[in-house]
Amino acid sequence: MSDRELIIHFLEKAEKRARSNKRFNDIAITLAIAFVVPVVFKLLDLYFLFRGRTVVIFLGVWAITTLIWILMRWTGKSSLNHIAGSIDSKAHLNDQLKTAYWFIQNPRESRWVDAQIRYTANTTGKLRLDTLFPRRFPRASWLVAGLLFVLVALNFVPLSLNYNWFALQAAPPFRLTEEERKSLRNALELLEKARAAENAAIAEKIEDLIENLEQGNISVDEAVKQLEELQEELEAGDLDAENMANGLGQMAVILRQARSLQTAAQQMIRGDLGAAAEQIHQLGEGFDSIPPADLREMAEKLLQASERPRSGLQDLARAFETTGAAVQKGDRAASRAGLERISQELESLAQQLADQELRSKAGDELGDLVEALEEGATDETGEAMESSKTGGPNTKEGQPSPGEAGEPGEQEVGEAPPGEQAEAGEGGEGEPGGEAGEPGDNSGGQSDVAADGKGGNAFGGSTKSAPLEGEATILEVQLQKEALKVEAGEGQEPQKDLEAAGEQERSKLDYRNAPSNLTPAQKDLLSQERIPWESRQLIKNYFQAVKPTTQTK
Amino acid sequence: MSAAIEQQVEGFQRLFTRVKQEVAKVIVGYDDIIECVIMSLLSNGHVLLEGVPGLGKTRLVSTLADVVHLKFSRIQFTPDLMPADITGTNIVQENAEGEKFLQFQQGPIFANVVLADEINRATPKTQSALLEAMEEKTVSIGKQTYKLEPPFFVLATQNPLEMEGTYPLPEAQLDRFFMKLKVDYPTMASLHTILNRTTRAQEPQVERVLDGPQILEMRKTVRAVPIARPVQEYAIRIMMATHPNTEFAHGLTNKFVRHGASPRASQAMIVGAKIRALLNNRVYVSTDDIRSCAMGALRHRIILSFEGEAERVDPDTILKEILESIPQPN
Repeated sequence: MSDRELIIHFLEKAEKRARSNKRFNDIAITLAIAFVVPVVFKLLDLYFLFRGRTVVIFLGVWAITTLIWILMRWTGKSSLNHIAGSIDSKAHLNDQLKTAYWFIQNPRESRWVDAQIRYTANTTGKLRLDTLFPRRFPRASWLVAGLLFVLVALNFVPLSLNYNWFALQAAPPFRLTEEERKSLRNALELLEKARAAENAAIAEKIEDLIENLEQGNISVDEAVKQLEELQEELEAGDLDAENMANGLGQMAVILRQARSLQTAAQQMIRGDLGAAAEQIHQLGEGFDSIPPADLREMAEKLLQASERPRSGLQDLARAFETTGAAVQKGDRAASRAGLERISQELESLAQQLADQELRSKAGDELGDLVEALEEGATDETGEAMESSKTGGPNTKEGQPSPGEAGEPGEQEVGEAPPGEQAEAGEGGEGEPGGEAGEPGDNSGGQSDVAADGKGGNAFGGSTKSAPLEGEATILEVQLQKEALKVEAGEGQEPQKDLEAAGEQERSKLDYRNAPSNLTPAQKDLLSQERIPWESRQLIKNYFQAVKPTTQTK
Repeated sequence: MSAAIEQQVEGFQRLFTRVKQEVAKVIVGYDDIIECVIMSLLSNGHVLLEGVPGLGKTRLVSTLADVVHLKFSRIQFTPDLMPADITGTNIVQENAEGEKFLQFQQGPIFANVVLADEINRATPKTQSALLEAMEEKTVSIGKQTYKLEPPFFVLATQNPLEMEGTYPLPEAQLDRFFMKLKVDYPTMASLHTILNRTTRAQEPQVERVLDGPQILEMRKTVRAVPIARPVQEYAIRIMMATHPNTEFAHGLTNKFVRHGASPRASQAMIVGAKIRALLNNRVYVSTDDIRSCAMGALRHRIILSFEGEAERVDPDTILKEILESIPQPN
């Protein structure tokens, strides 16, 4: 190997070593700088809760950028001239190698140049690469290791809002607030308590729905819509419960007229069907001690109460009828069995109503959740405010609104002859909406079901109506149909009755559900019963006392 | 390194060291100055020594002339000194037949080593009499041009303190000096040695260790030392950095310099660097060699601007900044 080749070979070896050292150092520095970014991003993630997609995109861009940068640094190659200068500097060669390399690259006929190259070749033979370019572990790699440790540690910090990226976790696209989550939890707990098979299915649907919402599979609007449907499904039974409660109230009013059944009837009126069942059970046990007159009275009232049962009370009515008949016949065994059956039926009804109450409460909790979701969506998009309020959680479609209950067109009370008990139950077979508030249901003065137009009952928890007690209130009011005089246009006949037109102009939306800026708490306050049911009897007595003596139709 | 070149380098070093040692017998404490003076002699350049009176400038030159065994002449520059007093003149002569003719009478310039003592005391006209001799190594009298015998070496001295009645050297003449060396006061230890040597009965005697042909041979050796382009470029960059308002100009240059160094400065740096390389037993020039010669080669070639003069900026300060700012070539 000539002197020139020796020098070039040495320079090439040095260049490789220097390049590898530089690469490792550059990579370590690059990673040290680069790892600051995900650490900072992770710290921000603890506060801002980035979604999975955001995290993936960010980390992807970061990884690609870092990789490109490393590759760019990796592909760089130092010139031999530069390496020669570097060795001159490290070995204090006074530009010897650099000069020799330049003369190798630019040869000239000179003894002095040859001598210089030979001299340099001898020098390079004494140089040690490990001394000039020792293999060193880059210091920056400690920083990289530290940052990596911090990144890993941050991911494993046990915080409720910390998502471990290494476990492929990230903040969901949508996250319920603590209040919303509490509502959801309450609703699910209530459904679990209700213990009906359909409730479990609904609970599962709700959980799936919330999961889809949090995963971003469905929008908030869609979730709200589906939750409202589930809420309607849960609260649909309210009407049946209400109807049953009314029917039970009517039955209790009849049964109360029998002395032996008075206590049980009072329990029924109070809504305590369990206690009533117990009373009936005790009555059956003490059946032999009941005087015959009371038995006759009991049989009569049982038979009377069994007439025209409302929906859901047919079994109870049949039990009344069977028992009444057995008592009339004087069949003691059958009578006791009948009373036991009545007791069981009452317990069953108590369970049904309790379940429905739980479902109704669950529906209320869902309503709160829907409302909170809508408010959240409204906060995010001001434009959605109007629509979210009109379709807000207080407006439960398909459910009787208080306004509907009091509408003149449905008020058939005035046409029903007051005092006819047989007609009392007819109103209950009509449309579910607003039945409870229809005065017609109270005709005959046998029912004191709340007639406040709110559809309240003593058994369906949500409406919190007073129990049936005392004589039914009869309002001496006949709403007059409004006739509007309008001039007919050309080719049109003058319209005589413009009631329909008037109704069309009338808002179907209850004023309490009108768009407003009220908070849910304020809305709840407004929708509360304004007359406490304990005071209702007193008020009713007052109005009965001041009632004019001459009745006008 | 081949044996021949090695011998050549060793011979150069030996002679250089001998001359230096001999001069140092008389001149104490100025090793750098002595070395630079010898370097200038071997570079075929001239030296301007600047220092206050009494520091041994003239003694240095005369000692050097003794050591190198060359024809030495001294010209004391005064305001009334005429150019002919330096170069010589044609004088009327009469032959045996009584015919008169003009004959050139050589002036003191016709020597190998010329000491131009207190050169700035002569008028510019007289100073300019040295111009041709220093650069062309010739003297023109009338229509006749006389060649000076090589080696021709001018050592000029000037006193920086006494400005009254002095004539600063013109730029063109300054540029012809290979180096300008500043002679400062010697150290305490050097002064002791000086006093010991000069206050005794016998003053130190020097030997003649170098003659003209040897000097010319050494000059050839110096010129043979190769220099790589990156190193040469480094010298050029330093020189270019003294040029105000150019691409390579330093900030201080732009502020305080009116005219930068000429290409002669680069030549001086490189030739001086070659001698340095040989003295350091190298057969190539390094950037360190360039740097070591830069100050002497550049300081008298930088013409300060009005602002620089007003602020009394030392060209050495500017040059130090330039040398620090220019990176070593890769």
